[in-house]
Amino acid sequence: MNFAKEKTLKKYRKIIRNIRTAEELENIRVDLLGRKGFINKLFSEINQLSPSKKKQKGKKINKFKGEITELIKSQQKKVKKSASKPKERKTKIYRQQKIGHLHPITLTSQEINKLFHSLGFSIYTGPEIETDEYCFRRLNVPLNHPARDLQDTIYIQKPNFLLRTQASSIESHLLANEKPPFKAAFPGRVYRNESVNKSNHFIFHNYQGVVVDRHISLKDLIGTLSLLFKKLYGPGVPVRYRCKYYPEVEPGLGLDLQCFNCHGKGCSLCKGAGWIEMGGAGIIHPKVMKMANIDPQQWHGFAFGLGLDRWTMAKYNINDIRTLLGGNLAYKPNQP
Amino acid sequence: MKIIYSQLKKLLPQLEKTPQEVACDLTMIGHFSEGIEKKQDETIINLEIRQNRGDCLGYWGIAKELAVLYDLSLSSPSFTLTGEDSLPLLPIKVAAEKKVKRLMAIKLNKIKNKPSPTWLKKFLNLHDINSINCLVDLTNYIMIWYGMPNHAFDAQKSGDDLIWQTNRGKFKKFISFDGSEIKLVPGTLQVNNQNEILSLAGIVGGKNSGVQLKTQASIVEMALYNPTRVRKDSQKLNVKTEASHRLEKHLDVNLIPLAFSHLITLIQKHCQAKIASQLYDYFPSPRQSQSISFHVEKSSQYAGINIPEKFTKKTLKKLDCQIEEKENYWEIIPPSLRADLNLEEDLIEEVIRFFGYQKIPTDQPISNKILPDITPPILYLIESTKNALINLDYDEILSWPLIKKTNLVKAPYLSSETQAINTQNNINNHYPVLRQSLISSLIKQKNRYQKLKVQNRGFFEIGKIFYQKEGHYLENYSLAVCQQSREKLKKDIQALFLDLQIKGVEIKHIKKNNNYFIEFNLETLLKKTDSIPQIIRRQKTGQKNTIVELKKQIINFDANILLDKKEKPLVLIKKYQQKIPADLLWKLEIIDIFKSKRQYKYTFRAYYYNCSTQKAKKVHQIAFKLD
Repeated sequence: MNFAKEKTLKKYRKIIRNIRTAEELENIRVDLLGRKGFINKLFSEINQLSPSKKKQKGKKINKFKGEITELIKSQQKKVKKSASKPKERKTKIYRQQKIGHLHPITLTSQEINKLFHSLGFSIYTGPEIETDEYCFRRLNVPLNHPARDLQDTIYIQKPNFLLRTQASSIESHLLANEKPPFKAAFPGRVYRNESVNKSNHFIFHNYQGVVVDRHISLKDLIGTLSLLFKKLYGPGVPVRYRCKYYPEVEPGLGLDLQCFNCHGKGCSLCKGAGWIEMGGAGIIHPKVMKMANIDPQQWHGFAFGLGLDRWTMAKYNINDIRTLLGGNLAYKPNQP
Repeated sequence: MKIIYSQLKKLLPQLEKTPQEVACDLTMIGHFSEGIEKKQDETIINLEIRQNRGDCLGYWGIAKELAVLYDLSLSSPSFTLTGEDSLPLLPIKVAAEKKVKRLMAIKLNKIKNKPSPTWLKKFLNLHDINSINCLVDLTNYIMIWYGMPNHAFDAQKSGDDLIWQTNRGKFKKFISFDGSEIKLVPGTLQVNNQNEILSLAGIVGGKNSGVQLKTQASIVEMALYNPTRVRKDSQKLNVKTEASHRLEKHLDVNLIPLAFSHLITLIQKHCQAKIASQLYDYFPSPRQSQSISFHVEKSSQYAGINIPEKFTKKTLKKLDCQIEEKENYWEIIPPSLRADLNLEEDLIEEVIRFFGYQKIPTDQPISNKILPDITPPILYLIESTKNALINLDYDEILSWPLIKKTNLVKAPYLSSETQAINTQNNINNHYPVLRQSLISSLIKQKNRYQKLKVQNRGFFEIGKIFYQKEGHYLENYSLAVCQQSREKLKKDIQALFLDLQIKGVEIKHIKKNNNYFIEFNLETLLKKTDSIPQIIRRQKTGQKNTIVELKKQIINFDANILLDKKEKPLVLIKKYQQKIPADLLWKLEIIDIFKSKRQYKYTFRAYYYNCSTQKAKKVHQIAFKLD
């Protein structure tokens, strides 16, 4: 064991006395006195020595520990005192300008909100604890429909109360509560009964848009979505619209973005398809309109839904989906 | 669903498109291609078939789709079952009449079962199915070819008197052909004889009547059931099989004669089997195809582009729709294969998808006509609150609404009668309960930041909290803020309220682990303000490059720089920033400036992230030219 007490104590004395914040002091306390700290490491190292040497060194380390503890305590008092009575600093700390940060999911939502707001859309919201009626039946997914397999549901009270599996449940409320014509868009958190790993989560974010008016067609829908993709990815990104079944729309369509990793050649990211699925859309099914007491002969509408998480992860270079709602997301201080 | 391209060509001999073109075109008309693979000298197209298209779970259905798209003829084989009139009737009974839509069965004997021929083994292998024996493999082959599940019983074990009936609780367990024990529940459909269960109808066959190489006589059946019944039974028994997956979708009862005849013909050919009974065909109520009124102009209206009437008529005819032209509309009877065509909108989609979604222009978005604003005021309040807080130097965090029971705390504004809400079936069982406060999430975040050595900043979260009261499930938007300094927290909340013009709200904080927390019900705050901005404002933070996924602790090193003349600190920071790679530098600051007689000593503190101590040290030494 190579431990020169006086020299080490002198080094830490200097460090501790220069600390001005409780947080930094806490960090040094953990580093020195914590379970895996410097002093415990010293204790573990003397275990291999002979009993007489062990006693001698142990005494020395204990003394050192006592002195460090005292030093930290006294510095804690000073820090507390100076925090309660702020004094003029001798030297100003020069650092970057301070401003807080919005969460990347908020930033993506706001960016899309802004676009839809410019197209005359309102922003809408709805409950996260949902009923079977609003999450499924009003969206043309009756009980025992195979489409329910797509969405593993987390129940609060089976079968009627659940955590919404899709932001389309907000569409059910929108259609039921508002009189057409209307245009609304809404980000929403959704829940699926899936295990959590680097690329899957049981809590994620959707973005949904709904329009109900007199003459709405697939051309309006495809044009609007193309505008959104252009805004978010630039004008040159190939987008594909293809026929796809969703119970709540008819005709329905799937939206794919050309894989930005392989540019359509096929790779592991796009599972060889060359395209990445971004969401679904379509003309609102007449049964959905009827269930909301909207006459499908008079009114037509379109609806679309997109996943926000992967979009946000790609944009902000986040590799692990758990980071979005976990503690590892942090914001670098702004540069001068 | 896998499609071997060479097998597809047997149904579409005139097909000239490449596998890549076929895969792409199938994707565009609704059958998403998940990729193409090459295996054993064959090209295989992997398709995702959606829930409403049970008819496309076989080569037959996919070939029909391509025949419409490419205007090709489908090679339509015909098979006939001959000589059965003089043979005995099968003593089969269908007791559960409402659950069985159609059942066709026949007895075969003098079977010479053997291992499958190479072509059959290869076909099944390419569909990820193990070869068992020729007879069983042929039943699987027909299931994949037409999408129609079927089953063969060893007649010497099962006997001939098979009964399709509902389990009334007499039978408690069942051993499937692979030896799995299944606990039975009353109400499910089964096939049994007088003594035992032989099969869970439409789901899985039993070990007690399974076909083996020595099997000489077999009752072969093909049946379609009420799809909801299959789905419910499969859920109740917790058994999912290839057969149940198909049978819980709508399949065509009228396809059974062709598929069944094909199967029997193949068994006769490859196992030298002889027909030993009359054909049994239980078909109580043939499906009456419903007529749909179709207005031809609507396809163009829905698409937003002109679709010629001639194209519409040709497409519907190729789909085997019967068309009767009336004065202003057409009466259409869809083919029985297409149980998904029930409304005029369904037919409109058929026309548009074959016309091509890619023909719809992409440069004409919806008009920006202003409609009444239906945005709930709470959303404006949330937006304004977020903007005000980031201006006060707070970072936003988001956290999991489902939490551990040990982390459950109640928001300070919730009354004592409120209770937590538990989930019933969350597979992430460490997080079973919905949060009743955001403060626990902020504490967790604070601890995490401390571990990562992220320097103290104030942060906040806006999100839903959940609780039950008097038997109702309730939720509301909550705002929680964390700050290390009590005074700053108080001052900032006062500034926030001033900005949002919120009056008459008491500011009461909570202290935990040397930090101060505050939580408000945003819906209550909404009632306390006179003015909420009426536009969605977006704060320009220019923060694209500031969001970081931290993987390691932040490390800091100091460096002293001696200069002969005084420099502006921020200019110096900028200068040294450029010497450190941006993907390693978290922050750079000058913590001390000391003037000696001749020189100025600037003490820098540099913080590094997502790198090892050694790497940070090396970068630091290079940037500040340290020895």
